[in-house]
Amino acid sequence: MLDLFLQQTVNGLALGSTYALVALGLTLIFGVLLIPNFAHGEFYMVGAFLTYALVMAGLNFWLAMALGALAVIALGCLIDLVAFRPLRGAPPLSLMISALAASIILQQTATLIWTSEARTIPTPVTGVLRTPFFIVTWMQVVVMASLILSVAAIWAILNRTRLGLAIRATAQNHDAALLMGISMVQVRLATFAIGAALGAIAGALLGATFPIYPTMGVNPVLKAFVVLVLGGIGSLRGAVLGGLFLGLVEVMVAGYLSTELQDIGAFTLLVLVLLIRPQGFFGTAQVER
Amino acid sequence: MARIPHIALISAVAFAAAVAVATQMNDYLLYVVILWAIFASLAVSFDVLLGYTGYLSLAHGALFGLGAYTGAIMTTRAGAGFWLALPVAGLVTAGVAMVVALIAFRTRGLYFAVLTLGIGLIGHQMFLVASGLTGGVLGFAGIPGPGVPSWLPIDQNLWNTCLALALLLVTFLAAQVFVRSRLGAACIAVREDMTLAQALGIGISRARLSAFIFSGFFTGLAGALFAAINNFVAPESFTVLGTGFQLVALVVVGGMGTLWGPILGAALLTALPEALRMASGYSMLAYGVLLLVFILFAPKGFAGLIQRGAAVLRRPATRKLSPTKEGVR
Repeated sequence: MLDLFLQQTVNGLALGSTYALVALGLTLIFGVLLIPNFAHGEFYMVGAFLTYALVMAGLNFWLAMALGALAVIALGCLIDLVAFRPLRGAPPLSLMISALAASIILQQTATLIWTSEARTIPTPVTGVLRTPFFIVTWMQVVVMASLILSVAAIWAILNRTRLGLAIRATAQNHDAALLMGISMVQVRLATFAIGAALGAIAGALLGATFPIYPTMGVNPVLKAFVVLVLGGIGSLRGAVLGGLFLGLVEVMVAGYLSTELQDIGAFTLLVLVLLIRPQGFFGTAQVER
Repeated sequence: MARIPHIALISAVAFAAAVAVATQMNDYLLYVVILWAIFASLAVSFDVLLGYTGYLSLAHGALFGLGAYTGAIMTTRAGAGFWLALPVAGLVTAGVAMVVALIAFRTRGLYFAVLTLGIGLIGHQMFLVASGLTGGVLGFAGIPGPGVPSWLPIDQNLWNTCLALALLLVTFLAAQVFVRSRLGAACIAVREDMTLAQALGIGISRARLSAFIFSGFFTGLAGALFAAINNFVAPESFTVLGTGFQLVALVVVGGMGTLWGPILGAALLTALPEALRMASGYSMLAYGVLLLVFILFAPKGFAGLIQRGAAVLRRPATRKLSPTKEGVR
């Protein structure tokens, strides 16, 4: 009984780490630029597919992942340029619709290139780590370690560089940042680049465990929105803790109730949180902008 | 704004003309017309919420499914006739829409979209999980179609087309009445400036709730008719990123906040997949590209383009000094 619980906890944290990785990029882009980037799931999907293609071409997994992430960074900046930058100052509804459109376009393009057949990337690290209480695959360990590394990297960028200062200033007050002479072009590019890279890395890592297909980004991005709501929009700590919590909830629902109810559990959680604590667990209630 | 009797007259003439044209069509064209009419009525009722009230709901794919399954269950398990199942499906969907709305309207903007998206996903998942009622992933087969009245000398396909067109007519007229009512005016006030509307003492909760229930009722009707005409429904027809997204595309491409725009949008976006039938993989891509192009370059959609074109044509003859919206610029 306790063994099962511990095992489920480990599985939940591993699953939650991937949610957190996806949610970090999403929360960064939303927190800084107020763009609800539905296409974030497609960054994740393209990252997975590029890694797959490069690994199939004979590259080492880690090199393939890095190259894939670079390509997705370029894609992210392109999406910003085409779909979001022209809509500066437009109502939020337009941004949302534009993001939905970008997401569909990327999905369909991927379907045309790679077909909707599911594939898997060969796992770069195999084997399991056995402890007296639970079993964890080395791949799960890699995913959790990636989350920690990513959080550390983002924290360092945001808090120890001038660019990070500019990004934080923009997040706090867009107009004031503009008046202080902060280059919005730079901030936008950097934010999209970091977000896209995080998405791509998450996609590559997940692709090594789960099948990849063109609409694989839909569920994670929705989960990431749930995480955003759970943790509070724009809060990095909230994204990490919210992601882990969501992973735990899902695994517990799947383990103790039914796997079919796993997603329903996640979205029910979303509805409950929005009803009880709309600003999230780590967000602060804020006045309308 | 034109008055209701005028609109009713014009719509009735258009309906009669459409039926007359339909009698000359082959079965394939009739099927395209049916799809167009059902999606157009969905889009018109969805526009009352998206275009007039300003709320982006992604739960409507699931509400459409709810109407379809309610209709299907009524006409098979419950043994009811089509004409009883239709309003029941509408009312059930409206009831569920009310519950959804009571939850979702505690939020706005992005949160509203994400919350309704979550509800849409739960709904879609429910259709899969509750396989005892819905047939699960295999779908619900053997739904009886709406029988042709014995005194009418027409075949089933033409009758289906007439029903779909009639649904569009009724939805369109009901929406025209709704947006002209006090509630409709309050909805527009909510869209334009919620704080101001509240300050003026407009009952914003009642207005937006009624807009959601209105769209829910007609979405349910459309669902039940869709199920009866196809004789078969499956959960894949009611996904958030399928139907839920298509509705947004229809309304935006057609023109948010005009009720005739979405009808045009539905025509364009129903004809498109049929025209691209040879390359069916491109039709969703075309939806996405069209949606992006319109939101970037013509956020008022087709209807906006037509209105602007008409204004340009009219300008030399009747130059007015009244400060219209375009005139200020």
